Amino acid sequence: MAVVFAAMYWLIGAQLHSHLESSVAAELAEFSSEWEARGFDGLRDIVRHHAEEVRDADAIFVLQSLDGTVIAGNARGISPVVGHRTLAHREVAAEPAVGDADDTFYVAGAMLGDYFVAAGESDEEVDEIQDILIKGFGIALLATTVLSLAAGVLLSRRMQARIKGIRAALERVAAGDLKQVIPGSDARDDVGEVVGLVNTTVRDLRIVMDSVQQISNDIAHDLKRPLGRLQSQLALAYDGAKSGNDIQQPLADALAQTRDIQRVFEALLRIAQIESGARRAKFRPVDIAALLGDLYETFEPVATDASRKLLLVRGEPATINGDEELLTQLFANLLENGICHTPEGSTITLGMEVTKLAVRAWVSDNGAGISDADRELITQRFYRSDKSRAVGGSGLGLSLVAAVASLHDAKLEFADNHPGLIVSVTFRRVMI
Amino acid sequence: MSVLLIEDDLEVVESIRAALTARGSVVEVIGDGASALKHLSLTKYDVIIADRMLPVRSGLEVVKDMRERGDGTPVLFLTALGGLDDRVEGLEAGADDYLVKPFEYAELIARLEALVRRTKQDSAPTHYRVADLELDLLNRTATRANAKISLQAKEFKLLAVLAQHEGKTLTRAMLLERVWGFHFDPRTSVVETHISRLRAKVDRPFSFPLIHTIRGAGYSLYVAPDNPT
Repeated sequence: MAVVFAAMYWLIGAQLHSHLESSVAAELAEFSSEWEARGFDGLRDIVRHHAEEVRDADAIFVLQSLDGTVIAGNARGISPVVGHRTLAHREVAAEPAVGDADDTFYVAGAMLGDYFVAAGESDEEVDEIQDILIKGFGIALLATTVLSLAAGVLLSRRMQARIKGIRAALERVAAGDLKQVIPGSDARDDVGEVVGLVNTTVRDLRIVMDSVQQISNDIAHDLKRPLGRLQSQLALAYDGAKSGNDIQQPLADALAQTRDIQRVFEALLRIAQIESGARRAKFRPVDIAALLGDLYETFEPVATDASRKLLLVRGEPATINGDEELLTQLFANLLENGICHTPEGSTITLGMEVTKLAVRAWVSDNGAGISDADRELITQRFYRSDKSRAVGGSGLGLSLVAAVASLHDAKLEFADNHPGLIVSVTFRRVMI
Repeated sequence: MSVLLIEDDLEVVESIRAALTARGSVVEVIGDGASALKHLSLTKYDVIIADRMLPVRSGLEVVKDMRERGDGTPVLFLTALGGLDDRVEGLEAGADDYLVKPFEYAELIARLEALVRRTKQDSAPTHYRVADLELDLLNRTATRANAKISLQAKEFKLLAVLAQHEGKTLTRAMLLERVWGFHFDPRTSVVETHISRLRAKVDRPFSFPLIHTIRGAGYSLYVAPDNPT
């Protein structure tokens, strides 16, 4: 823009100047033809006439003899130079007070007989026009700047609002709500295109998740009837077998096995259901301190009977929004892991700490701990760090813990307790 | 005990009917929700077993409808395995207890008997006496042979639930739900451990036991016939 303006400024200046030059040349030509037509008198009259018509001291006309005496005109005597030049105001002005002292004059002179005649015009107009140009440019620049700033603010506000909407929707998606449709895919720009692609991805993900859930439901559904039948037949056989009969113990064992199968199904289906996020609708305020206190009372004798020690680090009452039943299962699972996966004589600690915005509850032990590699994989379904599978359990306990934590938007962390393992769950606190 | 079984799965129907009839109950069966509601407006039962999934009208609707009409017959709700919300929905609709399919008969019978007993009491008493054991639910005190027994909160709750169902069997699952609020099967022996603690305080110091293990079923609080009362 500045370049365009500079070019304009220069072109207009040049144009005006050439106009000035041709006007002065025309006046001089007029003088010359008057001299040829009417001689000295004609020349004198026309110079005088021109000079009298000048109002704003923006033009000079002068007729002088060779010795420099002014015969006619509105300027002081100037050196008789043939051709054109530029003279300052003080060099041409008959009276210094008339006209603008800053002006310069474009002057052309010629010899007509023994007389010197000159015509000149002030470049004041050129200056003024160039001034106007600069001012105009300034105003235009200011207006353009203000307008583009305003437009920028408006656009970025609008974009910010869009991004905010997209972000809010994506956060809900990240929290597990795959039914979200991110707004703004109808906009015909890059952002709209990206949003459209994200929506497609989320939809595909939902279809995959739904079908995974459907498959596990179908499997459990198809298997639970034969499982029920098996269970009832075993129960009937067990009841029918006489006490002390050789077959009674194997039947009791078989019955126990069907219960284990049922437990795995139950856990799988439960995790799928928790992951669907539907339970969030049933959230209520839950006091974590009271919940942990109850669990301590429940598991302390269990730990003692298993030759472990269970300690409680009590915290002040702190409310979170959640599903009490699932939270109970979460911490029960962690406590049972602590009791089952540590050597005899270990100490397991159930504790909590409350900050202004969060409640952190943890279960720690001083057992063997787990490797860094296991820590990454530990919440996967059926994962066991103990490859021999010597220790019982379904391998689903920590998957359920992870699912419940995620349902509550809680942060689940596994860390080295030096020695042992510390599992902590950090919830957002609800202030009433 | 007269039982109305609302269930369309014939296999389940036959096995439940066999198990209940063997115990002397009279079982009637209806296969869909709408017919069941019509039938219930004419006939009364001690207890109703309703499956959640039923043709025409669901088990949920049957219970809701019954309760709206002021019919307080106890209902045991049967839900599918893993139906985490089915149970809550069933209880919210007005069912009294639930059971997840597949289940064991001991579990079904224990729950039905607990339900029938529950409704025969007009309002829940706050005081229980079983032989020389006395429980005051309001003051949370327990005495046996006039000696005060010091119990922890969970132990008291366990004893109270057993006393409320005197002579009836409470399964592990029933105790886990009612005492601990556990709607899952723990890996450790939570029930056994607490029963053993409770026995050490309630039974061992005294001349005869009140807490009995019912093999293959659960626990029960009663005075054995060969013991003095």
